[in-house]
Amino acid sequence: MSKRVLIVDDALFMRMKLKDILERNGFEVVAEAQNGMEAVEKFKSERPDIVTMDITMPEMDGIEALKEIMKIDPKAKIIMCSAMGQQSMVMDAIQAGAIDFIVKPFENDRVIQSLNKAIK
Amino acid sequence: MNDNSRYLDIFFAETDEYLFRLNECVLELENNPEDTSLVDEIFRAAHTLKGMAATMGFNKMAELTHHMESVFETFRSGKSSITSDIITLVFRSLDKLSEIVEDLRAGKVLDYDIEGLIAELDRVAKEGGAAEGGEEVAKKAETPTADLSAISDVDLNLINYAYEHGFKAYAIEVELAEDCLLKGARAYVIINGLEKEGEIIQSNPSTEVLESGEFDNLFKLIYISKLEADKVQAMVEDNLEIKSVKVEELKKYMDLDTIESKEEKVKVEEKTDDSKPTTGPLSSGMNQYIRVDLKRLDSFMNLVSELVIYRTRLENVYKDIKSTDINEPLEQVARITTELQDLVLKIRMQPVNVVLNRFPRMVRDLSRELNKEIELIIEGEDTELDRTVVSELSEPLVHLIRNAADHGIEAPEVREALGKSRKGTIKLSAYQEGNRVVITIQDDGKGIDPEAIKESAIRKGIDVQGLSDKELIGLIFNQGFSTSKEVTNVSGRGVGMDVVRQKIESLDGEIDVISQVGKGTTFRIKLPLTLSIIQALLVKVGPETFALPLGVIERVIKLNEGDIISTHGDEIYIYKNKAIPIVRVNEKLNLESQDGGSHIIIVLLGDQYYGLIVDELIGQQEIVIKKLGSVLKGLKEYLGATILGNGDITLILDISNLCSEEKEDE
Repeated sequence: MSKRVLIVDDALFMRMKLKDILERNGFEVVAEAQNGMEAVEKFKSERPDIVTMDITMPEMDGIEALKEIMKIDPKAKIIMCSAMGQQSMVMDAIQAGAIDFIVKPFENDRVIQSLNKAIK
Repeated sequence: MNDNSRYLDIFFAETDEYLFRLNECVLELENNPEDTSLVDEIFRAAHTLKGMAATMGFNKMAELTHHMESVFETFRSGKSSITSDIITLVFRSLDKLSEIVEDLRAGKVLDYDIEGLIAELDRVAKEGGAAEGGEEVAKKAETPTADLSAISDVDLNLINYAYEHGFKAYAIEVELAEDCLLKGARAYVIINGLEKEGEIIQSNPSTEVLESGEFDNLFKLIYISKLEADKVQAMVEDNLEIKSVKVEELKKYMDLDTIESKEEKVKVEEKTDDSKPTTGPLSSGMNQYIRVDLKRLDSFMNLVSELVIYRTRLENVYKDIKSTDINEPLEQVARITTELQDLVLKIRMQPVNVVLNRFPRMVRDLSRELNKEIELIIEGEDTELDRTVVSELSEPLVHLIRNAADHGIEAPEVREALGKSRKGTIKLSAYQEGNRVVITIQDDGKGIDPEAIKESAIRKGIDVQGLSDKELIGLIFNQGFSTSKEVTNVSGRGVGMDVVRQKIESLDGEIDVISQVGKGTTFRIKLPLTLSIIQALLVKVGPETFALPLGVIERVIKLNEGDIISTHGDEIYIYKNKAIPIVRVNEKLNLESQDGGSHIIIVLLGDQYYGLIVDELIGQQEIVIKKLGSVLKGLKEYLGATILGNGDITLILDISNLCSEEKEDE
């Protein structure tokens, strides 16, 4: 059974990129969301195994969405996607329950490594 | 190490670079031994080289580099003074290294006698008190990770207490990957993970420092947990961006208080990150190049163009049936075609500053040579052009700039007498206009006098009957034509302008000249881009639909007839408090227009605005430019034609031609 992933990012390009990486490595991308609000909705409806969560997004940012999702499922596996210079936000996210983070630009191997670690 | 062969090219390219840098830096270091940043750079370069060599399995190279690194380490810690003897030794080592690399490049793996060198290096390193062995290197056992002296009594008690209660204590040393971006966050994730299974009783640097990210890539922890060592190791190693992890059980030290025993049970694990050979060297700023036949790129481009046409047609179909099933994939197709286009274009493009950046120096030299004061202004140096065009552009531009400096700009005294500033200006600007790039060379010098040309032409026996001033000036592009009264070193031998024109034409470009006596001369070169797909605004003029390249359009304004002011038979419009000439497209093209137009399209050509009047706006669309065949080539008003989504054919207006004719009429 391939693991089911929800991709959250406001940029279509980043979602495409990530989706591509994931699907080529045997993950199933079950849903995509372009802001935190959507992410929470999609999480509720899809119950993915893993969520990749961008930090900076309109409507509701990744940290807020993370907190919301953790409320729904404290065992949710959420990997933050961050850019350089978001150190403190990443740490907030880890504190709030994110299990890992990956840094943009994405390197395929690291993305996969992180997801594999998440589902261990 | 099975498939490293494909990284060989990158490896050698990078190795050359590092070796070069090392040689350079060491040389500099000899003159400048106090420069710590230099030492740091040397150390880093050596360290990287070592890692690369080890990854590729080039053991001799790795070994030698490793021992050099140890010497550099003593520089860094300030324990060795940098003497010329040591520098000589380093250079000898570098030479040896280059030799090894050259042989490797040639595919030879020889057995080098590097023992002597290594012994010397070690001696220097030892004198400097460096720990023999330095950091991790292939197959070498390491010095212990945790410095026990740093553990306080309280911690020792804690450790002992832990053992009494079935816990184990570990010293953990983590080295993050060099390209790790958010070190603080990474360390935090690792610590967080560990703390789920135990407790960290000490960290070096402190956790605050770790979280701030203000540390070198290395940190050490004392960790208490019920987990076995290999579990701890695996747990840390699972994290991203980790170079190496060493986990060592501390129990030993509790039993035996001799520090020597540290040597005994050391677990070293160098993590060879598989992604390293590919991403490492590439991301560190080295590009690789391949040569590709331009024809292949051309056919690639053509295929992409076809794709765009069909995409537009699909979009039209979608508009009719409005099926959401089609919408989503169609959007993806749109995105991908756009990316494809960008890609194929970028492959061929190069910014013009490759050529332009040599001109400031040239103009400075020229002004000295000619005893003139000249300022060169360059604009739009980021404008990109096909790389074949860029490389050919240098020669004609050099010529035009020389001309401008020599014939155009007057001597400072003359300029003053004429009421101009002493300093003349040559302005070189490049900008993209639709599918072309326009480069202008403008000077504020004396201009070209049509009368002088006329005289010169008559002397040469050219019939000048009935030629307009513009046509007369155009004669300078003919062979053997020079208006200069005397020949200088710089220019004026009458070879040149025709060569310039030939060159530009051979690039499928055009050159023309606008000159006003006393005010200056502007040469305008228009060059084709490979850009054959552009964004366009579709408009209606009379019964016809035309496409205007969106790139030059500044604004579209609804037209109220009262906005247009007539002066001396010309029409102008006030835009941004400036009067700009109005071009009635229907008049230019001899088309009937119903009600005098509905919109003014403000276009910016170089630094001049024009207002184009059209009847109706249709919308924005991506179009593929198809050249007009040889029969229609003479039509100056059009850039080409395009096929619209509905299959109709539309002409693309050549805005700069439409507007420049306007200028001549003035």
